[in-house]
Amino acid sequence: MPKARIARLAGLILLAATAPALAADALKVTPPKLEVREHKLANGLDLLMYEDHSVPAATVEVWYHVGSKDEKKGRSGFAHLFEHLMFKGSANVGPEEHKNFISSIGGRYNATTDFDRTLYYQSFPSNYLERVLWMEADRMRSLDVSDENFKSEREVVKEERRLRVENPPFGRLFGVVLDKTFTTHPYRIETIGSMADLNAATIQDVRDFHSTYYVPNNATVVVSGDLNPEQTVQWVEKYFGSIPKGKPIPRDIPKEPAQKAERRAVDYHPNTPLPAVVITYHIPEAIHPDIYALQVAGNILSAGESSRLYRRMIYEKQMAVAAGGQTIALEDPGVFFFYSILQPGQKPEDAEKELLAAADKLRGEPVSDAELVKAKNQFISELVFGRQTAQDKADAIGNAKVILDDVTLVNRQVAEYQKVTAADVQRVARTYLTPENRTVVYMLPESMRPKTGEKSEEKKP
Amino acid sequence: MSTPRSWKTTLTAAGLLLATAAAGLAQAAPAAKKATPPPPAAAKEIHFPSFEQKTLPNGLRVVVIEQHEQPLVSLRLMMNAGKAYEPAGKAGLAEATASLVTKGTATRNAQQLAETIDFVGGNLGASTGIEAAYATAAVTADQIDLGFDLLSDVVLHPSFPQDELERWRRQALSGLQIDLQNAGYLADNALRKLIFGDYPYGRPTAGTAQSLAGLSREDLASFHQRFWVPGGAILAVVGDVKPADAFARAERAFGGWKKGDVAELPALNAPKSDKPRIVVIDKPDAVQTEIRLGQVGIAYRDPDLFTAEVYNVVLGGNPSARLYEEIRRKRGLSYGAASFFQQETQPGFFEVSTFTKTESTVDALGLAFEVLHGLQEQPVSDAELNPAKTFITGGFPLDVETAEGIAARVLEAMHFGYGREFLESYDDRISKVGAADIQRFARERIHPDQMTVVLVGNASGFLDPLKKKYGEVEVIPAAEVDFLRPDLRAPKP
Repeated sequence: MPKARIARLAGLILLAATAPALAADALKVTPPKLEVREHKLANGLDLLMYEDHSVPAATVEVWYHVGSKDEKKGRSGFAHLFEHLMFKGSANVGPEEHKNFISSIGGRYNATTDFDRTLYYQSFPSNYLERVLWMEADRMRSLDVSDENFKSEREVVKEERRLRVENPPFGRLFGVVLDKTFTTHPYRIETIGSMADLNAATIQDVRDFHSTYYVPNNATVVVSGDLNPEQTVQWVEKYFGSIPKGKPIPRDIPKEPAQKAERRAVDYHPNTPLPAVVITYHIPEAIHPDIYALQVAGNILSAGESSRLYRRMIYEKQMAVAAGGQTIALEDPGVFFFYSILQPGQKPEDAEKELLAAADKLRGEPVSDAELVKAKNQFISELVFGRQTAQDKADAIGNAKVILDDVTLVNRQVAEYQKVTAADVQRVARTYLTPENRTVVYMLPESMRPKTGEKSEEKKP
Repeated sequence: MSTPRSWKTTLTAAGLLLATAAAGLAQAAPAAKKATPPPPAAAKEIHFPSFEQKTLPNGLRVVVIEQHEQPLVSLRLMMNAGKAYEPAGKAGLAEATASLVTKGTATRNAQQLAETIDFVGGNLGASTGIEAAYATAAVTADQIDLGFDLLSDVVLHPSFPQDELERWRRQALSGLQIDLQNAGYLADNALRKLIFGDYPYGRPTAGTAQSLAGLSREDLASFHQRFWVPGGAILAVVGDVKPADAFARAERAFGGWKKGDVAELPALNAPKSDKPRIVVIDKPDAVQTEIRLGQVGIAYRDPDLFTAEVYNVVLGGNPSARLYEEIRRKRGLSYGAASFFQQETQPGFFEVSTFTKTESTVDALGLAFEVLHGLQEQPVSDAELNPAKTFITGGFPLDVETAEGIAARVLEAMHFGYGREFLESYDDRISKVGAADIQRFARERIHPDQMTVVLVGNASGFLDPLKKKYGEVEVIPAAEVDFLRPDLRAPKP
């Protein structure tokens, strides 16, 4: 479903933190501050702890600062494939034993890979904390994957790709849009990668990737929940402290050149059930101060049924089933994207006009006070509802440390949002939402392909 | 107040069972010299969190669960107004009614409702399940007045404007157009229709293009009047709120809700079969086949509820289960393989689901059957049974970490007529399920040889080997599937 995909995009945006309310209509609540304790090991590993004894459960997350943007040419999808292999055994933990153990104590575990990082997480009854740290240290120190397990897991990942990309309606949308938006930076390729590259990966790649990126100086351990900080530091020192520091992490990632002129593309496919229009704009990296104002703009365009694009395109004109505008803030310069999925029979040209008019309106006039307060209230509420569990908190802490490079942002972002003015929103719209900085992609059903045999701009998957 | 029954016993028992399980795993692993993992610390006590309940004179039951960690309040109203209560021929009516209550009331139009809830960063909505419909409001704690006000307004006074119904219908029809290209959607809906026939559990929740076209605002208003009533409904108030205050607010907001009759469902009359029925929905552009096997399951109040839960965990209810092992880990045939019981007032459904590339469709289906038969033929070992039980019981602290998590458990139990004792004894009863119970359940209640199988994929890529292995197979082109018909086939024009 497009909604799921869009939610995934939206999930990448930063969360706000909160500060005292300013306007009379602003919310009066303040999300609780997260007291984070930090400890750095001699081998470079960062440990972050958040203590909360409300239930006897804990979350352990291990963040490796490596994602699909670090992949070598011809090895797209490898960071994610590798993530699967981390469950295939290490010196003292057999294949599948890690996940089987977590399940057997009633815990929940998984791992995710995105452009910038790979994250392993588990939540479990807190009396098993030492055991979990021991298992995580073991696979950081000594991953041991057989060729047989590597090959069978690669088939699993290919099924995952079919499930997410090839089989479902709109499954290709995200990949096509990235491919048209970026020319050089590896954000051009979706994290899941290509089938050809997955097939080309070897067990030697696995070993090299582990020794390059899965080293303490590229890892952050976040422990959240029912823990004793002194004891936790001792355990982390005991199990992770002797893992040798790796070489400096290669960060030779090609930069995306500034875009000089509008780019356009049309893609026809049988798995596109309704026409969709996506317009992307290059924006700065996640830690850039302009991101806050861009995110406010995103809320004004698309958060809730009173938002500008919902009201205009879905409610009033009834031309679309989905419409919005959102920031994808990434470690390297990301994108702001407008999207719309159209009602049958609607013209993509008309949807493009509406989306561009929304961008022009942001450039042309300041947003109203009411819209600004509403957008900030939405951030505060998202923070209150989005930080309920030990894992929610670990996610926020880890993201601030690994992606934003400053763990104190977990509590400071709110103040930054409160500072955003209507003039800031207009300024960032004028800076980034420009015609020469945009890429316009039409994703159209196969049935709309011109029948005269003329060449289209479609790219084969 | 909650009974201070200790969960420590359960968790300690879990630790002991695990030691046994780990020993079993060690035997299976290659004989390498491995370090001994650190043992667990003593388990901590945890009780089922306290909750208070009260019944209003109109029959509405109100449950309050306090959670002061975050400044939020969440209101969740559960009613007997799901698709199971739709009149025949009105598939999608329950969903339409739930969707429209937030699109206009006696005093607020759709845009005013949206603007009001959006402004405070809250959530206001309604949705439907099989039996239940839910109306929810979630707001930060300073907006509790507004939360109660909006929720009671949309529940008690919806106006069902004609233009909003037309807007919704247009959106819903386009949504269906997308869903009908989704193999998973086709497989899920086809399986349920084939299992339940004309019994309302088998209806597509979202309706069909044909049924949606026939819904009128009078249909919605009368469905609302009959089924959106306090009798049989439960309101959970959870979060940063004191019980006395919450009860007083609930009384003010919902005390005037007209009583109505508690709705009841007819007894189940699902079609019976003495052999497997295999239906292929042909989707020639698919690269992967969605596979479902299913049958009528068990009712929530079935004495086998706990046995079924453990059986399910062993079979496919967790990532170490047999289906996952055989289909994903050993052979790499899928990214996922799972099983599931949907328990309702009447017996719900039981299903096994997976997906695989077109060419391995028959292999994956065969494995699913093998795994189902396996649990009938041999009792499960302790090394497999114990971790399955502790998977359920050990997760308790995580289940009650948020007020919403607690509310979900409490609402489910209360909906099916259980109370505090049920919630507090749940894990003990799971712990008592034995290998013989599982095998008996597998033999008596699960019938692989009479199951319904649905395969949605590119039929030309697997039809021949499928027929060779299983004989009779029905094939329906995806574009011709009609979810209103018990055989999924549209009547011939």
